[in-house]
Amino acid sequence: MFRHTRRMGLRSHGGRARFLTGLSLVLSFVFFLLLLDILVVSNVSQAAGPAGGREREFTITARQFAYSPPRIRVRLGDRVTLRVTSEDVVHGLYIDGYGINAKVYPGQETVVSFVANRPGKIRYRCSVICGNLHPFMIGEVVVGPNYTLWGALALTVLAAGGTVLMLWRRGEEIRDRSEEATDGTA
Amino acid sequence: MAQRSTAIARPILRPPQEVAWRKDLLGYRPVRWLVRQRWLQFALILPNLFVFTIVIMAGFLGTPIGAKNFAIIFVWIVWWALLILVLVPFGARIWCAMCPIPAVGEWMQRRAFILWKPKTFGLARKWPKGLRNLWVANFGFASIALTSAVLTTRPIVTGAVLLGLVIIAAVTHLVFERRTFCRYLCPVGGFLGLYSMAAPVEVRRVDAEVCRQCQFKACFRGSTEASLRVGGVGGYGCPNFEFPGAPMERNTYCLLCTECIKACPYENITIRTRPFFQDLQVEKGRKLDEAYKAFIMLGAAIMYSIVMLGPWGRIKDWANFTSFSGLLLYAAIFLGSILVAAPALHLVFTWLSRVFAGGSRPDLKKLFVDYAYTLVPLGLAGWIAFSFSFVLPNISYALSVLSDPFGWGWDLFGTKGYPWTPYAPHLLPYIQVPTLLLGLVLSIKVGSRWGIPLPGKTSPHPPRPGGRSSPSLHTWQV
Ligand code: SF4
Ligand code: SF4
Ligand code: SF4
Ligand SMILES: [Cu+2]
Repeated sequence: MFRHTRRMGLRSHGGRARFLTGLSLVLSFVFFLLLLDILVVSNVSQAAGPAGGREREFTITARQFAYSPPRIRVRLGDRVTLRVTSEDVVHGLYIDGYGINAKVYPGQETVVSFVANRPGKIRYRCSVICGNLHPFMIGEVVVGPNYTLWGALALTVLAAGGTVLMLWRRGEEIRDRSEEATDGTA
Repeated sequence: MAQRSTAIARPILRPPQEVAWRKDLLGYRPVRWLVRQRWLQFALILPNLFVFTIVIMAGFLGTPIGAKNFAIIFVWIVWWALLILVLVPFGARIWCAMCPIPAVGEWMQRRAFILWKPKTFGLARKWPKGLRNLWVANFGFASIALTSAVLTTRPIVTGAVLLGLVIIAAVTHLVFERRTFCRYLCPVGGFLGLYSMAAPVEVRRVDAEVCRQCQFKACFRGSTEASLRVGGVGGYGCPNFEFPGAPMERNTYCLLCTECIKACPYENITIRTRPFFQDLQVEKGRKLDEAYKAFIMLGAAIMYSIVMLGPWGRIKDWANFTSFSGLLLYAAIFLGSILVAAPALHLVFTWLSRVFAGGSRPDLKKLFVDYAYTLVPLGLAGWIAFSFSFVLPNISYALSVLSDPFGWGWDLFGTKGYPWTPYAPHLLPYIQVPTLLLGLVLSIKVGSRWGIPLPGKTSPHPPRPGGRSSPSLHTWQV
């Protein structure tokens, strides 16, 4: 029994459950980071405030290679109007998933509007090649309540916990069985 | 092929216990024929060299607008997507078998494009002992990664860096033996090696006993007149300093170049499929330099997601090297997080889990290194998720660039006018989250293997032909 565990790198020892908890901590933490930045990065909308369905208007300036403000927050069902002006060269505004694509000129206001009918983060990006970082010129509309974020986080915890639990139970099962086997041969 | 009379019996090509997941690819005649052809690698390299030449030309001569330049789109979107989404997860370092970067140097060193010649050209020096690790490659990768916002968006920088790599590789081939460049210097090779451990294919010896009795060791030393009288088609000793007969137990440094298959007089090396992430169970060979690669890669994936995909213009300015102070700040943050913060975090959690574990406590450094390998599935998933988020929105540039590679107004295939079309950008989270979750589950699974009793432990199993112990195989079928 010991021979093999040593091969695998670790001595067999007591408190395996806690050991596993420690390990899953390592992994969950890192994963948490990953998920956070890819999906949302600290953009939890305030739960309080009036319900959706309002008219919301934002003035946005575009420059190489970002929009300002970088992130706006609305609520599900709001009608969002963006008034966009460029500070430097010609930019664009393409809203992911809405098929809206407009040009943004210096000193001239472009107005786009859409209904925020998807929870989570809606990205919009520059659609006119405006310089080297053009493909990464991205702005964000966070539509709260952010079900996507909470769903993803819950899934993460579930998946991590579930895997640990499953592996642990399987481990116990195997140990029981091998103990039976040893008893049988003894 | 089989009617040779030798002192040692030829091994059975198919390992006796064929299990689901495990197929001996050389059991298929056409495959066996193909990998024994000397022209195979040349044929793989040639098209890539052609594309590579256009990339370098476009980099230096083409338009400076990245999105309209073949170099940027084909290297950082098309090649990168292929590499991280397909080639590495499914084909290990198969890219290295067709990579044009070391080709020029290797051809000079071998004085041949295709043929096997016993004598090589160049000084054939040995790489200094103290540098026989991944540290140079790690720091090379970290510094290139630091410049990535510039490198991946300015054609001239891409062209210059790639040409620079070719030149360094060529010089290295003339001064040092074999592919010293690929083993110890290439910034790409390090992460290919790390993530190739995940891939479901492997080049391995078949029968340990045949290797033990083999007096040629041609897989490492290369074919000789004597070994050729017994068998083999004339092959170089492993270009990447592996000794497949020793045996080789992980994919990390195998370039899938098939030289050992050609050289082995007993046809004792094969290519097999296998379960994913198998190599992560191999304790032998785990080292701090490789572990660091895992932190660097995971850290870089996280940093890039914030810098490149985030909405913050200031950070993009820093990464774009627009001011010196910004550059310094960015360098400190970027390098600090991938080289210091990520490993430090890992250390803290390793230490914690050691404290929690109680009982006989394993050595902290060993634990630190061992656990780093559990980050491989997660890191790979992180890179796949990150890559989707710039590949899907931008891959449509490839069509227009194909017709007008230099941005000179050509329209070779009539696709120049193809408009920029982001593919399913709003569905990205629904692709990324499951990818990451899968990475997480696999990471935990890989790690838990070391803490949980495994089946088969009480009854000693005979070692498998691959030299791998059976329990790891069982648990994969859970
Ligand atoms: S290690 Fe680097 S240079 Fe060598 S074949 Fe692989 S990618 Fe190419
Ligand atoms: S794999 Fe290498 S050591 Fe084994 S039989 Fe072939 S040449 Fe000899
Ligand atoms: S000679 Fe064999 S072991 Fe060495 S890199 Fe080529 S395929 Fe891999
Ligand atoms: Cu722009």
